[in-house]
Amino acid sequence: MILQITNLYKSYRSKEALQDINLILTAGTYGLLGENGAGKSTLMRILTTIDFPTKGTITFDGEDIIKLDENYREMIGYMPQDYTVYPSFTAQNFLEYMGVLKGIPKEELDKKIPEVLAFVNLSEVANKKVKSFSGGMKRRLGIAQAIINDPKILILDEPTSGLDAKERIRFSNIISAMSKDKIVILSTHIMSDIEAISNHLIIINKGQLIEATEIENLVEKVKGKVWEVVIDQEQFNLLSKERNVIRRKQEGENIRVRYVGEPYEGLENQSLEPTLEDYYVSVCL
Amino acid sequence: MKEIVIIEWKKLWHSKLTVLAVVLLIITCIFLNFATFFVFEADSSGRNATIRKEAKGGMLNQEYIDYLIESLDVYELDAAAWYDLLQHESYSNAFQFIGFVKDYSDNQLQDILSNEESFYQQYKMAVSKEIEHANLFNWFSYTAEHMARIDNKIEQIQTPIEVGYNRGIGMFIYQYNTLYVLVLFVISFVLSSIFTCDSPQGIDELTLALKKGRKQNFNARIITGNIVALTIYAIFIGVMLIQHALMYSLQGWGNSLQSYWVTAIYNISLGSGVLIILAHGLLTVLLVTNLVMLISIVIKRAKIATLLSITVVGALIQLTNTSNPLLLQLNPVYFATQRFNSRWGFEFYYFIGNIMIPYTVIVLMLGCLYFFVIRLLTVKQYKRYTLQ
Amino acid sequence: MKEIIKIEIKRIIRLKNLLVIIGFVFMYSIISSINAINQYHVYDSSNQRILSARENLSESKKHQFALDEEMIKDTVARKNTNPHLYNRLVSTLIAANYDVYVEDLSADEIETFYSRWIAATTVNSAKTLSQKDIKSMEEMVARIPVPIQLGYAEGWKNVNDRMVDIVTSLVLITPFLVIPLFAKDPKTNMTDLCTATKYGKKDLTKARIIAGFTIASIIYVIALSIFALTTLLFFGFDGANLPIQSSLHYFFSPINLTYFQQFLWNACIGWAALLTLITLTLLVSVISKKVLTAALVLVFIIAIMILTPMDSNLHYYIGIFFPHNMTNFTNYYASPFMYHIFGSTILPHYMAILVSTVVVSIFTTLTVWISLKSLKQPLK
Repeated sequence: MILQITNLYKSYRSKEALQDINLILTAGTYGLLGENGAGKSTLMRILTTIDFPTKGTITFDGEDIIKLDENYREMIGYMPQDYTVYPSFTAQNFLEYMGVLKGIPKEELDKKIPEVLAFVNLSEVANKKVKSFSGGMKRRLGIAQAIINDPKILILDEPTSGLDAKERIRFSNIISAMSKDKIVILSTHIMSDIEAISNHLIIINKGQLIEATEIENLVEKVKGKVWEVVIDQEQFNLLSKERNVIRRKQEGENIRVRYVGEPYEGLENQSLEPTLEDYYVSVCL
Repeated sequence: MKEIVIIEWKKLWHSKLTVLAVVLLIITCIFLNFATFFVFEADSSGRNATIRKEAKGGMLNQEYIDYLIESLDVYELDAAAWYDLLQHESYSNAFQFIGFVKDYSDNQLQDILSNEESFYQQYKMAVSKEIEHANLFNWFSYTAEHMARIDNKIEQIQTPIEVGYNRGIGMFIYQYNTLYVLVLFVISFVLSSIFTCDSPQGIDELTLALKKGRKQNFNARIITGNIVALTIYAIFIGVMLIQHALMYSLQGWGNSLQSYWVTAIYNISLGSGVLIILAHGLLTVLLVTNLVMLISIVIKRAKIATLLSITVVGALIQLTNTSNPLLLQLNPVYFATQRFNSRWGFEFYYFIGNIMIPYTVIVLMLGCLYFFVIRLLTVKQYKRYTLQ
Repeated sequence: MKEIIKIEIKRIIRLKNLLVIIGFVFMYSIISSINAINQYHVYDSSNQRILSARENLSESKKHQFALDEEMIKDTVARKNTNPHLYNRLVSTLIAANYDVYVEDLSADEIETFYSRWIAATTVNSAKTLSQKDIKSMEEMVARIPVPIQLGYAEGWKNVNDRMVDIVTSLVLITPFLVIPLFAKDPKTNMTDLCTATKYGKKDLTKARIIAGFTIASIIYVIALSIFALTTLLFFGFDGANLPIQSSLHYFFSPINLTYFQQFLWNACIGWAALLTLITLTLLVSVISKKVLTAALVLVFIIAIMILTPMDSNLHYYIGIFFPHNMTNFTNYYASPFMYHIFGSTILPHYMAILVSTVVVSIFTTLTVWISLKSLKQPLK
């Protein structure tokens, strides 16, 4: 199972949303990271054939996904960043609707719906209107519709946006549980979610591919370059001009600072184990 | 308050729906006015639309009557010739006027037109008969005392009347009555979302949480809604006037009211009469505007509020087809569109004892009453309004 | 495809809403029938009721006869002076054929009743026809069986005469229900979700169009059935096979139809008018993409259709095919126009169906094309 993106460009009028994206995706979980407006959602919309590239191709097992048409879409499950369900739909109605559009036969759908609802812990609210759901419940319902056709490719756009910590953890566990033998692409701003779920990271910045590799490799790149100091305001002002500050925390009169790069001279620098966030800030910001 | 009104005004006009509604109103009016022009003014071949703008205007006095007799040989005209003269001839007002008197008189045309004084006496008698006849279709009947009061007013009509070409004004009034309802539909679409919680122009959590977010904000929206409705109405009238001026010219503002509404008993010009009608229309626009905003604040859902507003407006329009005169006279749409029983009538009269009250005054009073009720119901919603 | 159509129908119209519509139609039908029944009371000159509607109608049901020379003679001789419907109908129809009072008819005039009737029918219908069409009209009139069979058919007469209002309402209101098929609510956003599914593009577009037709047809058939059945239950089912010429309204109609056939034609033409407006609505909603915008445009299109003044030429070529005019069923039976296609003469009720078929096809094709274009899917 190989999803290959070759020389992908996407332009909107005067703006280049994506430039020369080249990726080869096999089974695994891919975190898609980037600032707002970087091109993540555009890439996802192209991967789901909602939108089409200006230049370049995307193939699945060697065949163009546009030519594959509904045979390709049969294999995908998609959860967009923003969606609102028809007001009169209950969770059951919504899954029935999506299931039919995904081509699932009625008998199979009747079995699948309770299964996916149970999987996302929404069985008890199957007959409640979706508009009465909390944010977390809506997201879980979004997952339910995305997986109901047992897709080979799962594309989730900011799935944990707006969720509380408990919901995020639950969500991460759901994704992890079903990501075997699938290509899962999930875009998010939340580093801890990527670290928890994904093995691979794709970084896009201003439409360009910055990085596409395993997460371990990236964290290695900043090993020995992550430091922590406690300094006063004056020292902080100097430090922040010369180093990438990742975090700052006010502690009374002093500031506890975490930064990336060469150790700043004259300070009591404490070396720290690097995280993905450290790498991302050092590369992209 | 002024600042909030300006912000709400901008929000409404930034809505694509508002702009589209007004554009569609303008295009529809222009198209229908042209269509009416070509259908009404085409000659017997169905092709050339001709307008005879050169008119013999002036006072319909003895001199004018003599001129008609000599130049047009009126005594020899048959029904078809009368019809032609009424449709296309420059003297159409005068013929309409004379024709009215002829219909109500038992005398021959030669006797009717023998002299000015006798002509106008017969005219005033005809007016009295026509008003009495029209009253048969009303929900109350005039007593002999009432008719005496009316006859007294009829006696005071200043004669001779001033006639002249006024086809442009006549067609403006005709088209105004026909197309007016479109303004009400536009208002329904534009303003039904003003208090809903699911539209960009509506109410949101942020608004309600602010210091001036309820009473002042809501009042500002009511004011804005009325100003927007006024603007739309003004655009409608402007388009109609400009187009009719270009197609027909709007000569005749200074003609007597009786040159168009033959049985009117006011001594005002035709232009003033038109202004009164436009004022009636304005009252209805404001009533419907506030009713739509009440629906919006009660329903709170854009689609349902719009549907209900259109249904209410549609029902009010449909109810003007009733044969029940009382129901008709209570209907705000009837205030505006002046669909009187008789083509000749400008006004009819109520009586309290012997005090004669024109329908226009009743319209004002009813309008105030309706407005008061709507306002009361609307203000009640201010404190109760929630987003659920 | 069937399943997709089903879910789209379910999305647009829930059983609860359908029951509400049915309830309204039922109430309207009952009120309308009660009003119609009241027209059959008979009053004397001092406004006293001398015959109730029930008595009038039940007595009239017992009489079925031909409007032949003998019947005309009896009527002229005032042998039947009772105020019942069947008797008054005979007098009215005879009087309609002449310019004199029925009692003053001579024997010659009675003998030539039908030749006079044929001539009057032809002349009446020929007002707007060319010479060639007048000849066709004469041939049509000659095919109407005479003497005309009279009898009780008040149920069917009332259905056919009064169905105009309900059909027109259905034609003008139902299209608003199907706007959400292609147009989006401001607060609903499922477009991307649906587009990313197997059947979410071409198939969904086709399914939505079929769903639109289906919803409209279901509502139309149910509403019309309720109306017709209610009226017929009030008045009776008799007289379905009587000719439409047995009513005063269509006495001079050159069209050879029974009441039941007329009902079927009216129902078909109404359905055609409805589908025309439905396809126009779908086209408008696929272009505008928003529910309120589509509704606004539709209101204005309907307003333009209703308010556009027409001279007789424009009415002949275009006006008569506007959906709200198509439901003015009298146009097809009393002084009907005639049309010509490739040398053949076509009556207006056939022409209405033909024109609306063409228009429906054009609008449907445009809807599909625009919808797929916006999904960037080429037409296959």
